[in-house]
Amino acid sequence: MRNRVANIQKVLPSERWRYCRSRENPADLGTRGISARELAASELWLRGPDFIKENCVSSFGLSVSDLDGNASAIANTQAIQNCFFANARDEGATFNVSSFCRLQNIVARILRLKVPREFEGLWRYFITRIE
Amino acid sequence: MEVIADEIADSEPVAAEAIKTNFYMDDFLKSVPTLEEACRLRCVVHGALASAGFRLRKYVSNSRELLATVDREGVAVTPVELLPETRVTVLGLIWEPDKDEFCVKLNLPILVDEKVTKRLILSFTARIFDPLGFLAPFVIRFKVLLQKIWAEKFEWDEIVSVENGKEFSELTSTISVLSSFSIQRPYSLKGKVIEQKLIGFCDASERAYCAVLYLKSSCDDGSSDVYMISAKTKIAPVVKLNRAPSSEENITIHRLELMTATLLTELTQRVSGNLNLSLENADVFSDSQVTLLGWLAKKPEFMCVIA
Repeated sequence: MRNRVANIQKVLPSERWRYCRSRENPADLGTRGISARELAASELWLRGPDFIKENCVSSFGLSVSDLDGNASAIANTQAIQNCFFANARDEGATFNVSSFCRLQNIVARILRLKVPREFEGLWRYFITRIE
Repeated sequence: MEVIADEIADSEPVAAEAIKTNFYMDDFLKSVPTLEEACRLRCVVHGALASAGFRLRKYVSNSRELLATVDREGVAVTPVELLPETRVTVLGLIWEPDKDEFCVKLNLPILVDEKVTKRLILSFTARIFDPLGFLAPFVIRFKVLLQKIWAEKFEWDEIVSVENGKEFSELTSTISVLSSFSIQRPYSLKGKVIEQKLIGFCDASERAYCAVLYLKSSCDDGSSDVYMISAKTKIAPVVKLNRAPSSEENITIHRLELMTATLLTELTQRVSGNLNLSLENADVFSDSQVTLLGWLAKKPEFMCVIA
């Protein structure tokens, strides 16, 4: 497994990997299989999901909105995550450390509250990044 | 051919490069953005090869103007004959020059009351020639079906179970829909392309895994186009039946997600090499949080190697 991860990262480093929702993932069609008719009419397969057509892609943030919770909290989290990743993009170059860390902190806390036990690994990841 | 290319390399570097990289056996395939470039390139390549005794013949183009510049005996289709239904085979794919679209060749036998055996299904599946994976989500169903039949240990000429036979006839009965299926050849139709970017997706289920790659072309007027370039699917490896499902041998979805990430990486690498695109701004997506956050998002220096 480690070898595989290393091989992948040699070609496509970690910054290039992003999360997208299953239903927006065209590769999902390829694993489930669809009928000939569905294929001929599938925009998702031929042209990709809508979000890649936009100019800024920050769909890592979408992970939280899949989870249940109250709507405003979701919107809130989403907004924070969006700017969090806008910041993360400049990481390494000239990003404002204090605000970046603060954002991470907030995200981590919200995630910890919202994310159910199965996703424990997810928030732990954010926490460790802060530490 | 290499020698000819080297000879003209100083005066015509573009044409020399094209001769070196765009010949596929004895076919020369090249796409250039403008008509003038195309005409010029054709003249130079034609002239250079003719001087060495190779006369290029049977030209086909999506441009009537270009075909008009070629002498009559040199073209496969004259401009007048270039009808919407004209089809040419290009490296196994069907190209309709007038519409500038690719179709997939489906010369499939019509099955009438035939005994559905493993042999028949395999032969049918192998006839769908789809090197770029345009039909991948459909073809994967054949692959999954074959794997299932294999696992049930049927002989080559034994009639498959009713359930599998039904699935096969359902798949074959709808396949004719795909003969009208076509995919646009140019990656962008609007203005001048300023940036091209590869966007990849991967996913795995317990039966199969799939990687698919799109090309996003951003134009100078701010618009952008996204088209699918290539896809690859594989069926999940069969878990050894004689082992307990809970044993170490069992392949988890997470492991499959990692395999599909590997597949996507290979595909991206190959396509970026072929299209001369940089991997620097490629974006790759997965819907597996474990693969992404747990493994791939970690910086390589934190990875410890266990011998």
